[in-house]
Amino acid sequence: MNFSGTLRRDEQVSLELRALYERHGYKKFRMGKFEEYDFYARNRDYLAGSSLLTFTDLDGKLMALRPDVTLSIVKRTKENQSGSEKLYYTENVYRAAHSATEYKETYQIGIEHIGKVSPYTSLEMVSLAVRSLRLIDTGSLISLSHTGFLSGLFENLGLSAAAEKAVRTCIEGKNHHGITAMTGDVLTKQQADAIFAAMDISGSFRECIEQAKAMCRTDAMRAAAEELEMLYDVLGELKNNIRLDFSIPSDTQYYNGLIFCGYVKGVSRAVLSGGRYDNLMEKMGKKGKQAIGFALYFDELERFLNTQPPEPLDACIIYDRNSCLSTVADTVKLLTGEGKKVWAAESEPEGRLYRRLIRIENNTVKEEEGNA
Amino acid sequence: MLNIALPKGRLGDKVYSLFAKMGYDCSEFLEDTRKLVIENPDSGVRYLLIKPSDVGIYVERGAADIGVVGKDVLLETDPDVYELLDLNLGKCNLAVAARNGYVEDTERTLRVATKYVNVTKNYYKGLNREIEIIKLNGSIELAPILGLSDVILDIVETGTTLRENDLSVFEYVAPSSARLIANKSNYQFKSEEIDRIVARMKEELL
Repeated sequence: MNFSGTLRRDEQVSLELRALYERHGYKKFRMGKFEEYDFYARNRDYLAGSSLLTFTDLDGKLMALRPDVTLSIVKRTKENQSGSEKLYYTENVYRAAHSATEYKETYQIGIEHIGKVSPYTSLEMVSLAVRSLRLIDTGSLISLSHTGFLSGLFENLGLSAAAEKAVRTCIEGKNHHGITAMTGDVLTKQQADAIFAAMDISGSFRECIEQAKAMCRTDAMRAAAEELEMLYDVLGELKNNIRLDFSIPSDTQYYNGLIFCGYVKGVSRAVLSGGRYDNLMEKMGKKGKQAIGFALYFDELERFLNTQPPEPLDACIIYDRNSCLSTVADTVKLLTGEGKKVWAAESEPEGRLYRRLIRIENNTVKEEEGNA
Repeated sequence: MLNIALPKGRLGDKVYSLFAKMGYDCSEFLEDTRKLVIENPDSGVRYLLIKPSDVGIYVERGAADIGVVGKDVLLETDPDVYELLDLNLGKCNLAVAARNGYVEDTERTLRVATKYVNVTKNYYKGLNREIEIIKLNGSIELAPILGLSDVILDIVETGTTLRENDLSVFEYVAPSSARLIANKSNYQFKSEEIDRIVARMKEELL
């Protein structure tokens, strides 16, 4: 059966994404909508300061609606299990809206590879990220980065924790004048120049990776640049959708290594984000486990995908009380049998358009123009 | 077509003439019109004239690709955007002001009148000072005169308004000036165009 007339575009995309992940051996993972508050409170650092939506369970325990899926997946990972797991999920998460006056329910689809991450795993992740966004829009972009690059730079600069935080904020905002304002006071001229060089690396991958390689000061930076270049070289025709950008937010508490962000033209925020999160695994007590994954956020995508006004009904059937039940039923059956969308009632549907109007009065069928 | 959000008023006019000098002119802009959208297909720009405090929202939500807005507004609304350039125009300070000769009573909750609610909260949180915020939308200077508040937190340009109302700056909070901001997603797709504007603007401002 073909559901193209029934499914909204975002629902279709959601199914296509699931098919893509299933084909690559990812298994659907389903979880509860809430967990004990304590679990999220303990791991608050990873929730980017988001407030939790809490309620009290019947036995008095404080519970919270899930603000994040990855934490729940990591939690249930068995420490002593060898080998890898490939999982995907389609779930709602609950967080404070950006305007922060109310909570928002956001639909998310994501995939996670947990266990051992090989270079092929990273390649598969980035390829799937590109192909996921291509299902939405062929011109979409993925910006790659690597936490090791900036970490390596900061290791070399030797700044205080507060200064590093201020500089990272400037880098994420592509804010040159912020760095200039700190120069002389917190930063030396040489330090500022090195930061400017890193900040300016944003754009076409080929050019940018050369810039990046030229400014490497530590082994960590060189390793990061090498890993990115090696990955890019084998992406084939997916390269067209790839950029390099060291300004994408890199929470080092959570991520270590490859990170990426995806953008769709016409959607004002990043719609995809992901990366390597061994740090999170270790801090949550899953020693020796590696992991990489990404998530797609459907809050703004949903509006982007459903710009078409709803399809009008094919026919509207209005009958009066004198009409025979079987006449109405037969008319409906005939039309729906042809795959048409039909409304049958004693009055017209409010606020909906229809192509044909069929009146059944005193058991005679009359056809009129619709309002569509 | 590049959508540029400009703040209505004096700062917007100044910024427009900067864009015009760089070749992104729109003759209609200088006419006395009430239009809110002015475009010039030849130079590929569309100017949106917006209330200054809304520029951040238009850019954050991608209705405008880039925009110009005061740092004071950015500090207050904290939009998720790139802050690409300091234009050094519309310079002023966010400051706490009080009546001349005011002495702070640190035993009491401080009453602060302001339209910068978030800036005020963050500033006093940093000082660990307990405050009561009185949100006003204009003529903030009136509040301490009438005893509605102890101090105000507002922008101070030349200090004339303060002087004429027997007020003076008590402490400075942060400097402000006009900033060029860009939407994070739109920037990925129009980075060449936007980078060109930033580079040209830097030259123009030297």
